[in-house]
Amino acid sequence: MKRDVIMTEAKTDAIPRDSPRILIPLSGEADSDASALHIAAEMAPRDAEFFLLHARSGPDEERYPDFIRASEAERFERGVESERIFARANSILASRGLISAGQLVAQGAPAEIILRVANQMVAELIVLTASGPRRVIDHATCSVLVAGPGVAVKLAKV
Amino acid sequence: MDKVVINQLPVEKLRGRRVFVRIDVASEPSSSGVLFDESKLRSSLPTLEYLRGVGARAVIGAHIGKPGGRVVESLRLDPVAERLSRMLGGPVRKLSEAIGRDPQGAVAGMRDGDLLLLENLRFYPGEDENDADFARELAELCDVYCNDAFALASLALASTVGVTRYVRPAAAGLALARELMMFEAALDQPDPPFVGLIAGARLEEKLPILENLLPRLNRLFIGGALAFTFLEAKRRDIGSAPVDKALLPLVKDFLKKAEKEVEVILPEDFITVQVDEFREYEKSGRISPPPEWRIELENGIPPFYLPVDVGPATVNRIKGLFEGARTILWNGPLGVWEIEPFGAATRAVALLIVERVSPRRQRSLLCGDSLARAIRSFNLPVELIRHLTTGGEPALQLLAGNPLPAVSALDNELDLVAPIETRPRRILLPVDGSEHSLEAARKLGRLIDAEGAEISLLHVQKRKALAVGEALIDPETKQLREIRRRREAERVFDITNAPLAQQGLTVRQQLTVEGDPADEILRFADEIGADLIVMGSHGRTGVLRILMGGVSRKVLDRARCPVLIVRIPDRRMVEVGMLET
Repeated sequence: MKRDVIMTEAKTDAIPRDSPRILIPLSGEADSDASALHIAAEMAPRDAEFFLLHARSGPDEERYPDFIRASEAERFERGVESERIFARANSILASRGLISAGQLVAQGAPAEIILRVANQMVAELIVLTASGPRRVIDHATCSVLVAGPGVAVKLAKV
Repeated sequence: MDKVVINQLPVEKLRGRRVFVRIDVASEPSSSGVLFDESKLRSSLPTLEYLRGVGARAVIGAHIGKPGGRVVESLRLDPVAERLSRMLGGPVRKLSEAIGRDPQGAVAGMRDGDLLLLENLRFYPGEDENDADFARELAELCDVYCNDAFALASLALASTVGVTRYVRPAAAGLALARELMMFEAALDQPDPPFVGLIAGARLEEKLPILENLLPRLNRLFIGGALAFTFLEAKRRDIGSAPVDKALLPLVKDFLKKAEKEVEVILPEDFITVQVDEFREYEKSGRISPPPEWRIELENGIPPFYLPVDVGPATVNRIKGLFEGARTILWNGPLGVWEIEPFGAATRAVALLIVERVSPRRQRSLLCGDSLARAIRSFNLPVELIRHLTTGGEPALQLLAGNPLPAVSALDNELDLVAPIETRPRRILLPVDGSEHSLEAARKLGRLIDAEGAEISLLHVQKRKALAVGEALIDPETKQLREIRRRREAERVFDITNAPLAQQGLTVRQQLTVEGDPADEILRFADEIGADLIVMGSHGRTGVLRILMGGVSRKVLDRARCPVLIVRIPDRRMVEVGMLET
């Protein structure tokens, strides 16, 4: 079981690369995550790169690294939780013949994390469900794909 | 199991059809070439024999070694083809490539019941990257997909995941299905009493497994190096045994939680060696291992003594546990089995399983790479063990309750009963000629798989409130206004069509209506059964913050299909004069 998480380095260039990067934030809430993943898999272009982000709510460690220090056991437990979430997510992508290009974990206010990571990695699209943070829809500088509240995702293979 | 298995497909779906079979060939490099683990190769024989029997044309995909995406002469699959031919008692033709014109030609020339082995799939970087193009090329070689490689199921490879995007049906091979069913039987419907024996090292990998097993087990024995941290948590003297200090709090938590649910049993005696002598032995590579001392835990292991195996009293305890058990799960060796005398406990317990399990309607499931290697090294009749898994990592994932990507990629039985509707995607693109709506048209093909989609453009013009005296306007003026309205719509459609055409996308219909934009968009989306509504919207950073348009907001809140909000990057907004810097 791999426990390391791939962090993408911050990129400042905004030049579109060959394949569009798509950010799929995951909350850990199974139904909502599944719905975002299915929509992403269903709609995204074939050459898209999927990045999974487990946006865990809690004190923002990146912002206040000196104040908040989790114990190793705590980190481990979080790692296990994220890993489960990623395993479930990758399995949904795999059911469409896809995989994620990277997996990221961050703690803080979910909307802030999503916006920050989307900017850092120069995502071109964020995929959210209706229950996803509204702030992201309003404040994202990239495009956002949202499953409306009444959306029933079709599970067709393309 | 909800996944379709190759022998559940009607024979006519296989006879004369090209079936891609992914198999696993475990291999290790050796001085004389490559050594195979024949047991893995053998596990795929039933599937290959079945396919040959029903007259399918089996195109076999495999890899050996880690060539890293380039051709490595010593890792060509010719010896695999040779071995397979011998095992199957018939020719297995081997190609020197896996994709491209040659394999396509060779596959086209196959006859019913033929077997063909493609070149090492890992000669292509696309295999490990699950590259869509590579997967598609593999898919072109077959009509049916079959995965029989359990050991690879935790990986997402082009030949285990990507290819299933382009081939239907995608079924499990017989070996893979057997593995999955064994795990399902043990984890989902275990016949109680269910005894778990979790040992080996790497506590960080085993903790999630223990957590997942907790509610299922009746008794849990923890052994191997894992046990040390548990014993430390119980404040026992364990000498120089390595303890994972960082995870100690979690282990304590686990023990507390476990108390209520299951009986946790830890080793009661150990075979130990003196640390110095052991280090010396490891360093010098001497033949005879250091002298061993059996120590009962009750007396405490003195410092400078290192436990290397569990002792006979513990083996006896395990024997007692097995006596009453109906389901046994064993993961990880009990001692340092690589050094001959310290594999004694692992061997003794394996022997218990071989001797007892089969005749007594017990079900046992043994998993983990190092346990499998240990048991094979003991020369026991492993075929009597029901069931020794062929996959290390996938087994751990299943025990931890995680799904396997390569298994998720296969079709469910139900999918095949009710074929899925595959009509072209319907996209609704509301347009108003603004920079925002143009951007939506420009980016559509980049953000969405719009190839072959039916795109409808909708231009909603706001109905102007009737001014005083409006009704009195003469018909001529009215007509003039109508013409102007239509011209405006045409202009909007024209400028929108251009970027769509550039992306190779075609518009199926364009409509103009009057009314409230959001209401009309939603009504029209329902009417055409839209799969997606695409709307342009402004970026949100910068000095000038504009609220997200009321129309987008309303559509987002009420749409019954996904909505794509396309943003113009701030940089571009400045360029087109929509945002002041």
